[in-house]
Amino acid sequence: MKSSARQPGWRYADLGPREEGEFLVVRESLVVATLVELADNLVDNFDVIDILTMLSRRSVEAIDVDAAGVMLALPGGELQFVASSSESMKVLELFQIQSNEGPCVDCFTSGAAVVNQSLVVPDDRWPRFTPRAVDLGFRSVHCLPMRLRGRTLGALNLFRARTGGVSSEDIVVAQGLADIATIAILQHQTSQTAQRINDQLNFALNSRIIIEQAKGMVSQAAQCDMDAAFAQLRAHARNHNYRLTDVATMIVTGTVAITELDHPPTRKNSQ
Amino acid sequence: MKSTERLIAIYDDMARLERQGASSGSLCSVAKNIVQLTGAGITVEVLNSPMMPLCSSNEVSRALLDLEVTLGEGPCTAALHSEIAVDQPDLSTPMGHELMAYAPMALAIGVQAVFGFPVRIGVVQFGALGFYRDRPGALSESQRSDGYLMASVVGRTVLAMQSGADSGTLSVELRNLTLFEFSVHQASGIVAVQGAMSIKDALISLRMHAHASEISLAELSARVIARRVRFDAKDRTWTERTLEQ
Repeated sequence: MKSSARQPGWRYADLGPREEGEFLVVRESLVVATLVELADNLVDNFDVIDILTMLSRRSVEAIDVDAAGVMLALPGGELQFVASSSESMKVLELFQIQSNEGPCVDCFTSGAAVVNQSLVVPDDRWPRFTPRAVDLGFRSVHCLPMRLRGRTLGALNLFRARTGGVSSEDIVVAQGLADIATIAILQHQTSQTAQRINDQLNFALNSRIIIEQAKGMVSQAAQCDMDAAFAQLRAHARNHNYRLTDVATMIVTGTVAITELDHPPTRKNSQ
Repeated sequence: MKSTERLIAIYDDMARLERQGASSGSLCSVAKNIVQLTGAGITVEVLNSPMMPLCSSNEVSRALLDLEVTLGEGPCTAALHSEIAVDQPDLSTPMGHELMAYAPMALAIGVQAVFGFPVRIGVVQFGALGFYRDRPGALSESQRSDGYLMASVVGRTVLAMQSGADSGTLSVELRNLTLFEFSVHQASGIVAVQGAMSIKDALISLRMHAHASEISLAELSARVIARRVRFDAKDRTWTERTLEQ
């Protein structure tokens, strides 16, 4: 390790063995490029179900409930059960019957928590769900939205066998777990569309950059401020049916001289 | 599995900061907390353009990103080029020649060690995650694996913010939650016309002048846009005007 300290250039990552067999120990020459990929794959291929199952179990351990599960919204808005604290068929069935009706649907639709809902039969709100839950011995149900900046992805569903409500502290803890699940899912979803969104981000940034460059050029050549420069680029784009980015590119690459740009419609008192 | 636990720890910290109201520094603060260093900064690689600082956890990491953009050298740049993590555990005796200009200027603002991780999502080369520490010292093994993990999370988080935006535009979230700075590009446009040169050369001239005048590229750009500094085409020199002229 120390010997590498005098090598020219950046010292590359230490490549020693990892704890618990993580980050496979391969010959050093191979490892160099592989480490980044490994971490990346870890996040990528990470079984999202694994994380959600772990979070469901944690809910049961951390707060005063007896079963927990994660429901995710399908593209059409229907809820799909994805992970649970228990693999008991009875519990799974409870999640499954909630695709169209139940507290999770209410929670998902409103984006707000539905907590301390006593389960008593008969129930007008959830005629199919409630009798089944009561049959299985549950007395109350709770749903926390999986929500990030205005987008609701699903809900964390909790069941309690004893009567009485869960404390507000427990609700805070449960919401925290739901928030973690939300981020895990968003990370996973993004992996699959990374290339497209990255290209799109690059395109957006490049468009902005080239427009700013063109604004700078026009403002200098025409001795005007940035707003006026922008107006001129936009006027030219509109008159010739170009996109703003196209006009900016023409200016920056010199395909069109700044003097050839159309002027924006003159306003009153200005020329 | 330990890595799953670490990943949950990262998501947990992200969720916590999100509940407190996300800001441009949130993601960098998570990175700094997880890897346990003094500060963190993220840059995005943009085709045919200097890398763009996306966020920073504090003023010093912000200054480091500016320094890196101005000089074109530093931990993020090195990580991007090497495609693996790079470190300079002691800037007072920097390894190699890449930090000739960067090291003394970073030391001057209290930075003793810097580390860079490339940010990739599958085949996508997204940018880099840089860290600094206010005392010298190498990363521990767990800090390094956390750094790699954090780098993977960072790219996806930023892309998730951009998903759903209209083609050719930045999402509202990214506009609100990043430091994206376009003034340098306006300034490049101005200088290109003043000096009758290409945009690319204008940017190089701006960088060189910022470095020579010991101000950041952002600061020089602001002065160029305010027409307080101009490039003279005739004798190829920069002139600075006082505010009153």
